Amino acid sequence: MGIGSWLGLWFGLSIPAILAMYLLKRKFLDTTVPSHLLWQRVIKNLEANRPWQKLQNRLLLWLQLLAAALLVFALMKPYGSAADIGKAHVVLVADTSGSMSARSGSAQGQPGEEKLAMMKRMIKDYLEHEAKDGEITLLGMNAEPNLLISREKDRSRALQAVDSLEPYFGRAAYDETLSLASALTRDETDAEVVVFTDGQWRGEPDSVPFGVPVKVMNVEAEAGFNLALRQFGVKNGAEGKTAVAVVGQSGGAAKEAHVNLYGDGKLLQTENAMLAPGGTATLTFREVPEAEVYRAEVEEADDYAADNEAYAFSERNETARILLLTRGNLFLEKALQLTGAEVVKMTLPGKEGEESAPGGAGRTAVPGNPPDLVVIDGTAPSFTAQDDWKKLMERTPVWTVGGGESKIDVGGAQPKLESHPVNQYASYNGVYIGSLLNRKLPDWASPIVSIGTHPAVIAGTENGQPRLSFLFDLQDTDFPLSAEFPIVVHEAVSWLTGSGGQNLGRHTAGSRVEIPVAADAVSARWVAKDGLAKTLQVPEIQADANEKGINALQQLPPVPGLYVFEQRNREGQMTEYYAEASADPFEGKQGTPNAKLAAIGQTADGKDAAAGKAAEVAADNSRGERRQAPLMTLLACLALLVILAEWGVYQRGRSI
Amino acid sequence: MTSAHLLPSDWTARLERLTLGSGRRVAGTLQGKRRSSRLGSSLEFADYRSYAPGDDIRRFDWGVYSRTGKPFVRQFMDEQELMLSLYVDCSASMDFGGAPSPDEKGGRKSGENKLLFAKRLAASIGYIALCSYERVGVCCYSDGIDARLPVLRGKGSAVRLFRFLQDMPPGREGSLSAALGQPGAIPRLKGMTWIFSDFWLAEGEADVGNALSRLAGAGQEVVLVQVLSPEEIRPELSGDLRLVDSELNTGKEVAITGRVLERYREELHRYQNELRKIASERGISFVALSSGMTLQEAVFGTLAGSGLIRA
Repeated sequence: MGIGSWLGLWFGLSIPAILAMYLLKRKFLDTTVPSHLLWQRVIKNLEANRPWQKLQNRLLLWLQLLAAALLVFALMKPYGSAADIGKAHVVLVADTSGSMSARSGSAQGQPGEEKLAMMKRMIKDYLEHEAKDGEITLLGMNAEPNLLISREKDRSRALQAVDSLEPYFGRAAYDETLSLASALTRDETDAEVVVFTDGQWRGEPDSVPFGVPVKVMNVEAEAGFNLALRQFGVKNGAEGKTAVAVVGQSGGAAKEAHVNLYGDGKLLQTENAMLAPGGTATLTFREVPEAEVYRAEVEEADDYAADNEAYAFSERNETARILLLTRGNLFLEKALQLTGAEVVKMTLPGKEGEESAPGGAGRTAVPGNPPDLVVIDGTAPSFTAQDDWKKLMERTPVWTVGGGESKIDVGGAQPKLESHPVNQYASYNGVYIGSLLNRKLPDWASPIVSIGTHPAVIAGTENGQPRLSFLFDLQDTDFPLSAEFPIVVHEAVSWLTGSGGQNLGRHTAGSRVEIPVAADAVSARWVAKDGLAKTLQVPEIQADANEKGINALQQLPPVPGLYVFEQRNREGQMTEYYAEASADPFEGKQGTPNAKLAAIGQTADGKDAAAGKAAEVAADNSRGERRQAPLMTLLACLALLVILAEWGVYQRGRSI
Repeated sequence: MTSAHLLPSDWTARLERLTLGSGRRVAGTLQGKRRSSRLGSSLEFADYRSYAPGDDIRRFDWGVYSRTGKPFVRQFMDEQELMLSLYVDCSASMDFGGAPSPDEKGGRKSGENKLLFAKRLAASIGYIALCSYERVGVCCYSDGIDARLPVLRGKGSAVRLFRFLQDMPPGREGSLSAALGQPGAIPRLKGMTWIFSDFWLAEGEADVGNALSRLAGAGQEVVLVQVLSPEEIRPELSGDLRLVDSELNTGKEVAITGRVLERYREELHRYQNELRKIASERGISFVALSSGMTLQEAVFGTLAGSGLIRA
């Protein structure tokens, strides 16, 4: 109950005016009575002719005063705190962060309800009861604020939008969404912002200024417990591979956690640990067998499923390691270094054509760290065909340059290029190649550069490993002097080392990761391979692309799990990059609610100077959680009723 | 013009059986039916006394004389008529209440016109007296004696009585003391005086008391009959009223409320008690009647009940 305009009180002067008129009224009806004798005595006793006594028992006067008072009150624009029929514009901010996917109350045995479902119900309740007629704007939270509907009047579409809310496991844009809500309601008076959240809120919600009332509706859910795989990695060590997982829990009681380690889908090992409330434990899996993708999984069912799995990939060098066997070629060595690869040079003794001493192979040890690429410049030394070296050569990409005996003179004719990744940026324009090796081509080989009918560069795959051979000695050409040379070397190295793709590592879901997109890739997509993403059947997501091609910065899908980024080139060749999308660790904490969140409603009230009257009214409203309902009509009706009653009094008689 | 206008004929027949209940022996000039305080010539034996020369020889008791030899004279009670004086207040205040039409019997609610009711009462009392061979004198007064009917006697003069009463118009301001203060207003002979009035008197109670004392002093057995209309007993007024006095024509502005009406009833009650007190101090009867009553209720009920009329 409040007063809209105290100025209306001036009309209250009408009440004394009415009283004065009644006091000054001199109209008495002449009534003849036999005698005054008794009346005089009565009057003397009562002194009833004092002015105010005339007013005392006068129904008409009271009715008129009542009517005047009602009218004056109506002019003061009173409003009552009627049930909220809703603001004209209601901005609903739905916290769709990952923590909303947690279930509540599974501690009692049966799985609780998802908080998101509870929130949806709350929002629908709110739409049904509080925001009946207003326009609805629904904001969700993704990496950016997600505007689902804007100023929607259609209830069914609003409800549809509410149903479409999905949890976002990445780093949710909490304050940004609030900020957007604030911006959407700026310069509005009949609007409100309602925030639905579980209270887990990152950031400084109270730093967002609001000009309209803000309500915070907490999804009341019992805090469940959560076992989270905080860290997981596999490293190569002296005793084979070692996997390390860090398990944390948030919950009131100590819990035992069993962590299963899978390698390419097969259960490898299980470790367990007791976890104190809020504590963490580090589990180490030793002598882990070889696998491409490792998965660690918490066996226990908990309330928040998004962080129960973590992936690790076989350790692969970030930078390719190249073993360069050469008798000395500065151009090649520099060009290989320019690719960013770690180049280990093994200087072969003797000049070209010299045979190393017999038994020398035995003395040449295989490198401890297997290289990613072996580059043999010139004739391959004999030890490469023996024992360990042979094995290494078989499972390592090899690039040979020159090294043959018989040569064919091609006289510097223009080379002809086939389409091949190595040739991507090469033209061999102005390159003089004097002679080519005359060698029988191996089975795997296909020429990618040829001069005349003679192949100059051959490429192919042997035992699944790429092979590349330059059938000319660099010394016989001016190719190393050409500007294209480092580029061709770079392309050759990346083709030889990167053919199987890479893993992109672990990233927060929804974040943007840089992906080496091949220049000839025509299509790319994210495919869910494992984990929650597979369980939830996340559909394939096409990669972001623009007119120039596929963006190198791609957004990870928002649902945690293992994904493959598949690129296809024109030939249909596919390159796969594994990436794990992990849930935002903040969401799994199930910590105490952000206290500042509760303060934003009050902050909105406090902006008295800036927001002025609107905020004042808003403050009243949000405190009462009700809205003003003008009483003018009601009062006017009452006044009319009083006037009707006056009519009745006129008809009946003049006084009580 | 018949008496039916004032009194219905069946009513007069009933009245003939009544007599006035005067409490005292009366002294009149003519012989009447009423026992006088004197010894006289009636058949009612009173006493013996010794004969004195000059006594009526017819009253000499020869029987006693023969037995005792002493001369005794028999004395008898004297029977004389009663002098009844009727005073009817014809002031303006009496002309109130009910429909002024005399034909109307008057509903109980609105009541009869006070003056008419008083006239009927006076006529009834006068008729009773005439039928009992009393002498009846009638006066109408307001601020003085307005009209006077010579003393009537005998049943045959009832018509004159009725006509006189019927023809009396309402007069001016009423004042009992002024009227009685006029020379010759008070009856010369001892007797009974009935005063029919509303007793709305502007003069103080002391003046009324004096006038009544004078009447009592003149050997009158006085009966005060206050006639009020139902509107005066229970006024049903409301609103802002300027109450105009019917006699003085002066106004009084009163906002009538329930409280005021209640106080009015209290005042009425007090006033009647005052009158009753004044009356009883002087050995005077006081009867309050409402014009809403029928004559039968008034005569056979109230008046007979107070012993003023006997069957």
